[in-house]
Amino acid sequence: MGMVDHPPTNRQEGHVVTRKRRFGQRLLVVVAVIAALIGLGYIWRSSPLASIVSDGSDIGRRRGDGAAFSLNNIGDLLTTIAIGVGGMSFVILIDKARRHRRPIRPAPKASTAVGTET
Amino acid sequence: MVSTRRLRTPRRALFDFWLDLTMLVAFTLDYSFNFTGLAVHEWIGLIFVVVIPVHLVQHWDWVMRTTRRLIRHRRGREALRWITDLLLMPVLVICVASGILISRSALPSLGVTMTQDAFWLGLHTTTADVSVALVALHVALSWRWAWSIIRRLTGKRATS
Repeated sequence: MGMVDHPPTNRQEGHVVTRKRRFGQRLLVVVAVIAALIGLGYIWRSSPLASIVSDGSDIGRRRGDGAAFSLNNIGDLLTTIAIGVGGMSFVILIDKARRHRRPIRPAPKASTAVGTET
Repeated sequence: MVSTRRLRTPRRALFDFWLDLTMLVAFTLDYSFNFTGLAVHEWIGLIFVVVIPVHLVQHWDWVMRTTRRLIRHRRGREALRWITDLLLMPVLVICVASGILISRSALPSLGVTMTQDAFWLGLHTTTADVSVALVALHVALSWRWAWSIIRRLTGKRATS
């Protein structure tokens, strides 16, 4: 009784189907979690705790009318970028300083592969 | 010293990188409400309905692996990243969902009329403000990964 080896194309197709099915299953779970979060939002809205959320009256003051895309308001975009870059730089500097104080021992063999986030 | 040897970057890592970069640019534009205006703000917001679930599925393995690791033994940086992501997910989901529920331009143009509810409006701005801080932290804590991809894309690699 010999082992039947599938042709590479079949194996590749099977792999793709498994990957797609796994992606679909995970997507369903993620969508269910998102639906649950939105459901919790609705529960929050009808609970006495809803009053801790701002009633939105300050939004006009903070955001303007947002009528249409305007290059005149590029300052708003620059402010967002400054907040983001500022926050990120702060964290990266701390991270680098910590790594400098406690250098990580290099792996025995350098790898050239880049995977997903580790 | 920098060599110019081009290194192969896995397709999956490239897809993650470009998706994450798109999300970052979209979020930055979307938060700049006075710059984009209401209509563009809402259409960009609708993009997140698709990309957030895809982003979460793409990083499913990392979430599971890290959760299992953190249960066994805590690690400072990894724990901070995990907690940041755990907070960012519901905050961003609620931000997008509440934005849809108060849509005044995008959804009405598709024939769907939404009511202007003060609760959702308030929640939308609050979660947007919290999201900015959490997104910056989220990206900053992944900077080594992003930097490694950028280096490979530019074909440079530091050698010591």
